[in-house]
Amino acid sequence: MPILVPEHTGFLFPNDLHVSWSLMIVMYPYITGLVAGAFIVSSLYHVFGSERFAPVGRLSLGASFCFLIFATAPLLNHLGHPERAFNIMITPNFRSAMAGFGILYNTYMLILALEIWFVWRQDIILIARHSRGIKRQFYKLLALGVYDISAEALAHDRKATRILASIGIPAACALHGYVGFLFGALKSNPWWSTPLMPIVFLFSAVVSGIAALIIMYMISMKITGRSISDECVDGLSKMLWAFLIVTLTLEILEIVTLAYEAAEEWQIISSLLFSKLSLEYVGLQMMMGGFVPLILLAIIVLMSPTPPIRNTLALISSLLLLVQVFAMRWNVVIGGQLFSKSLRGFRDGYQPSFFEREGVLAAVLILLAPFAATLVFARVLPLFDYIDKQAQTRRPGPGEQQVPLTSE
Amino acid sequence: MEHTKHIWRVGILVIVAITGFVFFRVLLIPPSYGIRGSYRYDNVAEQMAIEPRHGEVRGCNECHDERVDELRAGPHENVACENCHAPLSTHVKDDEKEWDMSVNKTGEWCVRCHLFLPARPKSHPQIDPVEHLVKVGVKQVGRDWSDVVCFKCHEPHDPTPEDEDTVASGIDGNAK
Repeated sequence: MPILVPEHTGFLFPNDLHVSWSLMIVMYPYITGLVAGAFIVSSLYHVFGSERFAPVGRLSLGASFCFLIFATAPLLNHLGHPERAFNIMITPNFRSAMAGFGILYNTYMLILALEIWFVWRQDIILIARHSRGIKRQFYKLLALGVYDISAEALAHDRKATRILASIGIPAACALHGYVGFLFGALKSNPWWSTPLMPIVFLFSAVVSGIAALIIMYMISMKITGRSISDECVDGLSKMLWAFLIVTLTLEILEIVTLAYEAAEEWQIISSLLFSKLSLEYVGLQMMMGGFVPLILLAIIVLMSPTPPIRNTLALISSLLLLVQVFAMRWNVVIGGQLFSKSLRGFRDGYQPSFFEREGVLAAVLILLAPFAATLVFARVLPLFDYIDKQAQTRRPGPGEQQVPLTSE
Repeated sequence: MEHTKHIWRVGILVIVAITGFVFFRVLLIPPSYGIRGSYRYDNVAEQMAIEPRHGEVRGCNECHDERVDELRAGPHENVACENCHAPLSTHVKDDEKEWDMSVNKTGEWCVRCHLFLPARPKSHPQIDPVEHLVKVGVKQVGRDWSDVVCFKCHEPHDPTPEDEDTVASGIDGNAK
């Protein structure tokens, strides 16, 4: 018989003994955050026309879509009856904070799917034209049977992409801000209940998204033997630095406000952060994941090092920032459940076991799934220069006007 | 406008998808949903139609009044029979005994109420099972403690043990 009483100190209510929101609830905002971040980068290219982000324009959209597909996976794995999840879309009860999730998630999914279709339409048609059999039928279906890649049609595509991306920015912000709202709106928990929570979540989401994109971009360039675009990595690093500054400022401001107000909850929150979660909060979230990348990125931005050094610094910062954002989600979700609602006692830590349903292995698999999905995505819709290659090999057919085959 | 055929097609597809969702949503909403709130109102009648499985103490009293009196005289006076025994409907049919009554005698069941929890009132007898068993002299405290071990000293209808020494050490968990 295992020990029935979890280790604890101080005074706890009976329902404070269990960490009900497990590792899966840490994964949920983490993966959703990667969506928002990747999408913001794609919008910079598609809406604001930042040409320096052109090399990751498609990767960011594809990755964003794949992350979005798996954003609900941790939640579904957490639920005892995952099939009931659809009830929040069929009969949403708006007294529940979760009710809006179905609407936001599906709206964003629709916008993203449409944007992807417009961005890749030309590729889809070209692939359809150059293939036979089932593959041709598949791409024909994807193209909705219209093979029009005239300059006018492509101009319409670009316009549609721009409109969708500009609707997508507020949609991405709403989706991730909403995830923060789910925690920020829980008035029973002083560590969660702050209007700052959605904003902190949103900005750290963008940080993690950009970081993931830098890593994915560098790895895919390495695998496919292409050269890394200096301008792109430089731009991404600068943007990452800017968003990191805002994120860290917000995270520290929240703590400073709590500390200065020194209301009744500060006593428990301070011992939560600085003794219970000293490794996760001070060590991972603030120092190793926060200030170290801040300095590394500052070197890139202020000292303009040579490309190999810059790329290495960007890669290390991105990896550290992925850890930082994960630690932040962990400290919020798990940290908020370690102390009693009485504000007078602690549960002694939470260690998910490796093989349990909501354990480490499940979390790792769910985290890897979007990356695997991105690989599949890249097999169906090329993430990099398919059109350029086609332009070199393809001759215009009879009666077909040669159109400028630029990307998007 | 020329060259917008694909936009029309995708637009129609989106409209079909959204209309399809709205249509299926209407089909999927249970008819009585929302009459009195965000739930299926028919469910209330369905719940009311379910035959009660438990009989409460009055159901037991008719045949087992001595046992019930014994229970009422001891510290378990507020514990309903069916908390440890099975529901009345598994034992009686049409006011006649139909099946034998089962009972949960495991230590695991006892500690549902008597496990030490910081939030429980100090006056309520609580134990750390392993510590308690060691104190009362159980030599081998392993996985087996959860079997019928509690019953060796405690008679559940009148759970205070006869041996006063055992009592003293047995409720030591209260001191925490």
